[in-house]
Amino acid sequence: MHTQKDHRFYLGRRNFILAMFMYPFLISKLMADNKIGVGSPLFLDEEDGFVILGGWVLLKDDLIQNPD
Amino acid sequence: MIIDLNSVEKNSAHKHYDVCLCGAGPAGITAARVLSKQGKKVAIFEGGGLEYSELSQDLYQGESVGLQYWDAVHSDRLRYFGGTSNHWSGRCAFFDKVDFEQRNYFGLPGWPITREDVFQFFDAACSVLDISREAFHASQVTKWNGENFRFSESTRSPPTRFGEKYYSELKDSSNIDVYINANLTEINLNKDLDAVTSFEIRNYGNQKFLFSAKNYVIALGSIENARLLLNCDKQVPSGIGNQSGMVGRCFMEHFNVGIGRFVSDDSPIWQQGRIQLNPSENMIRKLQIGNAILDFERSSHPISYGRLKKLKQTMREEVCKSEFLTGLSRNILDFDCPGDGLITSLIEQTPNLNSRVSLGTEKDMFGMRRVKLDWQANAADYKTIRTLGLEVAKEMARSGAARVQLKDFILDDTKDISEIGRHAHQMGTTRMSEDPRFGVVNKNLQIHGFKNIFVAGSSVFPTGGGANPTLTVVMLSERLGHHLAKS
Repeated sequence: MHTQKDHRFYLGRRNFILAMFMYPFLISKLMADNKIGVGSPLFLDEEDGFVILGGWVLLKDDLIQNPD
Repeated sequence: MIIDLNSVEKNSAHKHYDVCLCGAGPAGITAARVLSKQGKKVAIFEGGGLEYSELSQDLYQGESVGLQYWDAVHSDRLRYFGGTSNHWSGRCAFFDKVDFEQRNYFGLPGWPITREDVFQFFDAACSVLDISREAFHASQVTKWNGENFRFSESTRSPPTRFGEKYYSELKDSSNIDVYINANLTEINLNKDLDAVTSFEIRNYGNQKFLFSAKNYVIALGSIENARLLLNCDKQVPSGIGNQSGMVGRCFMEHFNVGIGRFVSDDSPIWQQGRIQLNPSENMIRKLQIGNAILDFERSSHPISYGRLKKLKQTMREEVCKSEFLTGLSRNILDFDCPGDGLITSLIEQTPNLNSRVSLGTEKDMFGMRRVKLDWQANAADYKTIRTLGLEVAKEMARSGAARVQLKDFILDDTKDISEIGRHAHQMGTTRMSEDPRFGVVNKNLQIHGFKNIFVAGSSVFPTGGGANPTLTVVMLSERLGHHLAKS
């Protein structure tokens, strides 16, 4: 169904705050599972512009790719 | 007239009718009313009484050897006047155009009739079920903002309890005799084995009565229609209508699978706390999957944080960080996390020859073998479940209305989908097909190879669609009634 790739994504601070506001449970859940954190590299599943993280199907725009 | 066969003297009930019809549920009562209005004399035989009884219900006992059906073989169906409508939830929904198309990826022929053939009886069915055409449209107050899914159109019947609603009409009818405590135990055939000559009916004293008619209808539900035809093996060893071995095959349910959970935003579509989506017909065709309803039900609305509630809400937030405590709070403490909810589903299964009703070894009080249900899912079904789960999660993310966390078996096809439940929508087992190799009845619901016996109910569905079946059952029964009245 989807491919697992070693993409490194970083959650930008602005989107993190927005996400906390809109999806408090989602973000807190991800943080509790140590799957997300500001500035942390993430290993993600990716398909068609979506990011699958801990079973959550997110838009890439939910996260910001590290310019590095 | 309503006649209790337990109170009738042996052999005193010989009568000839235009139609002998077995089963006083939605299918049987609907067809009988149509026939009566056309001036036909009809006998309805109901195995139970006017009220529930353990004695009658016991005849539904059987075994389940496939996907878990628990005690549902026995309890999902009700064996008394009004049939299973006595605990029907009342949801009425359309079958889509795609449901009637030939979907070759299903491996068996689809419906031999069109949606229009069925829907010409829509207004009549609305009257029977106490619903209105307008109510379907009113259920779509807003348009879904996405290409691959659409809001599910449905409405609710009060629900109509057929036994209660039509009792007086049937009792006072000069054209209909309803026999209660009247169990169909044998279908007698002529010498050429191509026509029915009589129904053999027994009361609970095991006294035998014979009734004859021009035409005969069985309307006993998907499991019991097949069980009866297979048990009638006195003159045809494989059972009536079973020359191709199709009786009992392709038993279908709607899969009830928990897809995952979601967190929602505050957009107006969540005002009702729940939305139900169907996949678009184009996506069904393109991805070669079954139809479905994906049901998003929020546990609670997002919370406005007031000063006085701060402490309580802080505690709530902490609880909601833990999956274990969230589950505990939802199930035990009735304490939901803000904006979250669960996704359940009603998913069409493919017609599957290995998913079937057959006969067990144990016999009931009339010496008829009890049912053995082997409900099966196959690879095509798992594909439908996984594809719909992922696609609806993507659609939700695109729309911004929610984010979805899918269960691991949706994303990982090496994991078993073990959590498949049912919807008590029993379909198939005497499927409709113009080719006798792939079905039991033709497009007029007449059993192949027989001149005068017909089947009513969801057992004739060649495919199960993505909607609750009762509305379609009633429309098909209206159609059958008119066909028999003409003949």
